[in-house]
Amino acid sequence: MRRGMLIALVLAGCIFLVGSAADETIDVVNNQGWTVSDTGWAMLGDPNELPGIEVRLNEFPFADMLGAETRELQLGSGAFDVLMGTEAWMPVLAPFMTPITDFVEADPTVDLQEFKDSFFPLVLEQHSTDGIMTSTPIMGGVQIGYYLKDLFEDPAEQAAFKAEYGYDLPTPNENGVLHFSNEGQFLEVAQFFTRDTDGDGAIDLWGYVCPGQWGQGGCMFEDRLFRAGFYPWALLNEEYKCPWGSEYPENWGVVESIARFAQDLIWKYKVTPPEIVQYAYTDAILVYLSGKAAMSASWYHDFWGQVNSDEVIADIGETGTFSLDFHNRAPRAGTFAGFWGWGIASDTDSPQAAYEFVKWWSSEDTQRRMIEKAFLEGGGIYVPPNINAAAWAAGMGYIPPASYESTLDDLYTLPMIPELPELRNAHRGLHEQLLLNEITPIEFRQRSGETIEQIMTDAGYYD
Amino acid sequence: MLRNRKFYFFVLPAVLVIAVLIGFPVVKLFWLSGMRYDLMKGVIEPIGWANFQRILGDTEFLHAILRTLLYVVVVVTANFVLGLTMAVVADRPFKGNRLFQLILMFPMLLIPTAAGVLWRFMYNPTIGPLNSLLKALSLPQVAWLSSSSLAVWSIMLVDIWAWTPYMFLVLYAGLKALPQEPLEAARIDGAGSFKVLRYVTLPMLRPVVFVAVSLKFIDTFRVFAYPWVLTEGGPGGSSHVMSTYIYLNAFRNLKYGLSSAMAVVAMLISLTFSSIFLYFAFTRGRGETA
Repeated sequence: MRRGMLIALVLAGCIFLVGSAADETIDVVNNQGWTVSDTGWAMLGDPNELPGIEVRLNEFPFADMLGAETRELQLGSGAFDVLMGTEAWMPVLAPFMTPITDFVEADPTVDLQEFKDSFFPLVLEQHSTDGIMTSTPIMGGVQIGYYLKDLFEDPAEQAAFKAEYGYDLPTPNENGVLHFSNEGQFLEVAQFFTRDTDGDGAIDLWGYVCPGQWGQGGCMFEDRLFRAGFYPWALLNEEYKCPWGSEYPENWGVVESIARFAQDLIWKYKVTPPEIVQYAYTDAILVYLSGKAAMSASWYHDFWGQVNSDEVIADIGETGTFSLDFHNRAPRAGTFAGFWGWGIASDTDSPQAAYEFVKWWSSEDTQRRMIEKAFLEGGGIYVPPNINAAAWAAGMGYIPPASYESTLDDLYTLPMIPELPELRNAHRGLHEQLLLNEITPIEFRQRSGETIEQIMTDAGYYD
Repeated sequence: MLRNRKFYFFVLPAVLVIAVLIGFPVVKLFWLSGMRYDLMKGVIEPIGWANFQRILGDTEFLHAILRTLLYVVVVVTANFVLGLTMAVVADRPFKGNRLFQLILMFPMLLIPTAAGVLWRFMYNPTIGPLNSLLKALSLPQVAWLSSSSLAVWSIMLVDIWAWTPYMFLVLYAGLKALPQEPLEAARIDGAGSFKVLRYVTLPMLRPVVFVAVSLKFIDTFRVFAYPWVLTEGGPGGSSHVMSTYIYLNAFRNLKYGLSSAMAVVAMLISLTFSSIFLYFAFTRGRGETA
């Protein structure tokens, strides 16, 4: 009897101790398979990083994330404590989040103004609603290009280029970023490097490869719209109308020109393979990493650690970066920037733990360590939204020079309205048909403009 | 039996499970199909037949339906012909027969998503092994997934590669279970291998064939993983089947009401064709064994 009571007391004591020591668990949404966040999760394996808090990942493919989050929030299920999203989703998610500033104001260890000033201004704006900072940016970037640096710097190649075109092959600036003066120069360089290296009649080295499939193919088009000065939101103007819709014939030529350039890369100049229509950016980078593309472009900050690894350098040599600003054609040209962030769900049961997690991840110290670890281990890279961390990372070579330099330019984003997914899909399928040479640039302009106008009309923005 | 109340008692749990797991979602699907459901704005409002009217004018969805029917016919036919051929070959004793059967099983062991990723690399025109092989044989390069006329056929090839082993397994088991006396009698009477197969083996195998083909027929209507992983319905929507087009509208365009209406239409089409097929399959099958 006494032995039994003793055992029961010991067991009760153990249960009490375990219960007391148990971490507080928070459910955090994550983009499934996204290498840029992997380093952070690996760091959280060390219990000293975020003591007393256990992070449980709720992973979704990118295409499903917004729907999954919105469903749970609309149902009020409390399934997620920390929400994840691109800046374009934040207006949809913001009504369901407690503004981060509420937590920062209550935190005696953080000054609110210093906290806000630590971010790039446009990035701060992307994560604010009606002037209130609702979510916290954590990672992002712009679309940039990679080029085979050893090829470009080969004296024989440089001499041959000069002999053919009469001017020097472009070289990087003091920041290590290559700039083409215009689309014509870019095309000449792409043509120069497009070649059949083994004499079998097939092209073995393409001048330029980029994604053409659906989402990331569409991003290339959207970036060119921003660079054409379609302000503020590329797909919509300030009146929420399509800038190349029926009311704006003065813009038709610009959009047709953008469409024609994408189509001509494949079918007229033949510097880009036709199969890019099936390429996501993971496919395009594979072609670059196999040494079959002299230049390639997309959201390539992700792969900076990989292209600087010993194995890749041994295979294809050093990689340089170039800016896509050769597409700029208007005074108000800007870069399409995407900065992901986290927000704290207003129905969370663990608001303080959720805040501690977001605060840890977005701190300058953590950002520096995360970027360094990712670069040195070949992990996914991004541009830190923290100004000091980004400048430091650029100085150390941990982020692509073109990514950092572009982040200092005018950054733009898409309209943050609920109709955005449908607006983007309006041109994506047509863009694929354009790359397939199945529709003309005029048809592309016409049909995409009509579809966008119809979407906004159906949504009740105007009659 | 019907007068025995215990009968109802024993079937009640199964009926309840079916009602909850199948009946409820189907009823909800029909309900959603008559709604405008905007998840972003939290708006759910009845709109009657408007979603169905919109579908009637959606040529892309109509093309997806026709493409699905083509996909089912081609894939199931190929699965059967190749599976039967392999089963007949494996039914003969030869050295390495077991290894042959083991190798045949490999494609079926891969989960569809993994198979799709593998074949996406295989089909890569620049660095994939298929075009590299064609190049080595001095044959023209093929735009497997980047040609709007070829993409859906490339996807069908993957499905055929993945599921022929299933057809082989079922038909091989059927062959093994056949009585040998009719076959021996036919051979004694002087019938060659092909005539034995055509006039003795296949008629006896018919019930098994109908079961295998029926199951594959119904299952292929639901195909999603291969087209989605390989092309996401592209390029330019040229390889959309019903399931991928519905997925696009539900989870990319976030049009839950419209996509529910599409799902209702897809379900009715599948049910109609499957019912017709099963009717002929089982009346024919019963006739043969009677």
